[in-house]
Amino acid sequence: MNLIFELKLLSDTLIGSGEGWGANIDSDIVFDDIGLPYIPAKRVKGCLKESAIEIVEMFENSGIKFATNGDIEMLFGKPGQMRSSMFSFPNCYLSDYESNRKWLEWLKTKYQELITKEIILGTFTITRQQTAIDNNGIAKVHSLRTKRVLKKGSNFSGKIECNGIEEHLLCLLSLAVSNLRYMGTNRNRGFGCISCNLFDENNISLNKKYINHISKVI
Amino acid sequence: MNNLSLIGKIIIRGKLYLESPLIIGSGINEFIDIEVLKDENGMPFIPATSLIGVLKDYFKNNISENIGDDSDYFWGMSEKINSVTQKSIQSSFICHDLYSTEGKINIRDGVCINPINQTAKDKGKYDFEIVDKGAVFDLFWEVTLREIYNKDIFRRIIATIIEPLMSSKIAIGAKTNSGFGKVALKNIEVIEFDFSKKDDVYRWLKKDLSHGISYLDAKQYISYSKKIDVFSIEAKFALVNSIIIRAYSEKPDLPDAVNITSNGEFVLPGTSLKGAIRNRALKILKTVKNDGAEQKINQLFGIAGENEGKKKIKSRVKVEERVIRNTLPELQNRIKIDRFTGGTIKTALFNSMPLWSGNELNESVIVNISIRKYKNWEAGLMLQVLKDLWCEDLAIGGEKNVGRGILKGISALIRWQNKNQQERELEIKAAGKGITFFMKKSDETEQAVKELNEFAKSIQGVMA
Repeated sequence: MNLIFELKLLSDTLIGSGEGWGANIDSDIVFDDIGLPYIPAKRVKGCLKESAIEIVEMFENSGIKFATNGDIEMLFGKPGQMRSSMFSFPNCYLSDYESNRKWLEWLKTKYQELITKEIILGTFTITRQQTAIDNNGIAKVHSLRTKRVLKKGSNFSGKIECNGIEEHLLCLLSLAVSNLRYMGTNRNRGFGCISCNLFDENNISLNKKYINHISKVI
Repeated sequence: MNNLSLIGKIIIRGKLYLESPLIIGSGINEFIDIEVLKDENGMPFIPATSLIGVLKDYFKNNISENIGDDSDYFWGMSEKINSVTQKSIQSSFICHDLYSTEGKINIRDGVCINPINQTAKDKGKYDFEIVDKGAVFDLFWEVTLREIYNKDIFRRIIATIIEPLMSSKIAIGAKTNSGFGKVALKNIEVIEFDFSKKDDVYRWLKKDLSHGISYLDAKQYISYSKKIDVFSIEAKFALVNSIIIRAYSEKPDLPDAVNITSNGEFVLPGTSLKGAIRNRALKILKTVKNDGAEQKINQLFGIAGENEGKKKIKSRVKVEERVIRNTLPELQNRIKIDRFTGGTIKTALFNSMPLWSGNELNESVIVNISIRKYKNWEAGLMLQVLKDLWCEDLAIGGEKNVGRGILKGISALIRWQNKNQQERELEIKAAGKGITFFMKKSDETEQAVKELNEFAKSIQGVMA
């Protein structure tokens, strides 16, 4: 079974690559070889796992008997064990990634001087500059830094692959998706505000379905 | 359940109103000296970091008790213990960037005046974009509550930072000492989620933010017993004849110069006022003694920009941008006369639209000056400047050569704290050709006037 994971950026977002870009940019985002940004699967999985843990905590706290820590291990795997997790998480790409990529590759060979990696990247990103202010109210020396961030409003998606999943695990995953609201660098300071959705093969929103389901359990 | 488990959320929503123009520079200055930060649709916004930085600073400077680790849990912290290890805590306070749907961007310009000859400095022209007052930004805060945090302390921290925002004590962005960036939080809505309740968990997952209330029931941390060492003057003036702070229009059918407006109202910008006050203060000090006067003024009014590697200093003097009231703009055409023939010079017709009050009793201009951490002589210096403004000696704005910008004092409210930590509030009113003093406790008036006189005298002492 394949599930479609959708992620919408509600604010500028920095999915950091841990690298800079020459002398211009101090913190850069992740992008592929032709300059199309994406969100690495590890990032998605890590954030979803944290979100799922929060769901379990909320349920335990409020006495909803539905999911346990064991379910999180089933969903996301446990380090050091033979058995892997039931899910395979994807890198999340911009919509129509495959066809866009082909077109861009063709354009890049045809108009080498017009279509470059920086131009492609520049379409999806803006740069934000910040300084730090010290206790005396003036800018700290050498504190100016530049970040490249994804523009708000972009949509990313990827296919989560799974085989033979129990329904209550799928429910936990869907709730974790609903509960995931921030991602990336500086997520507590305006960046990385996102909204996520999970759809099944028939394009039915699993978030809505299982939130309704939970209301009945309560 | 471990001690970091999630137990609740507090959401604060509201609208942040701009009460004076805002400058948050984008750092990209291609066409203009300071361009404000805009999103990709060209709408201005306030980055969360700009707001949180100011709030954190305000909180840390005004908190009255030690609240220990919870302050770090709330604001987050990062500290180098040694060269290898670093201790850091993620903040549990989430603030979204504040977007607006109707913010207007205008361009202000100004010019640096040479204090010696009162003319424009060479290359002293500067311009900057502002977000005009009246813009409304959406504020959204989310506070994560975990088992180890003290929920009551968190609620009190939030109450402490909401209050100054609601009573517009906070200014954000650049040039806050010239009255820019004043904001007020309104239409506040507090939505609390307690995850020990099933219903709240369900509401949280459904993103149902409808159960909000309009206040947060928690005690603030601010102590009012702390010494507030601010000397402030709020003075009301009438216009002797007219005033103009020039803004130039690009359209040919409009007058060459009109007064600067902000959101449709004529204003006296803080930058103009502060410049005039600074130059007059320098002149007064130089009259007492030339040596070291400039340095003293830099210490008080601050120093910035590219000035040959000098250390930057933040100003301790704050003025406010206020609307000019009870005036009417009127077009005045002027010509240049050829001194030799007495005839008019061709193509030298020019016009401007200054503001006229028509009545010397109308309160038109309000000047608000305050000095943080003031020294006695600095307060005295401001009193001297107030005297010059009051006695029609210090003119403000443009076209001073034809008599514009002269003010006449009506009343002034002076606040300070004396040696015995007493709050003083003295009102001065114009009476005939002189002035009279008023105080709530009338028997202390004489003593208060004496204190002000001591302030004024101490200028000589410090310049000696």
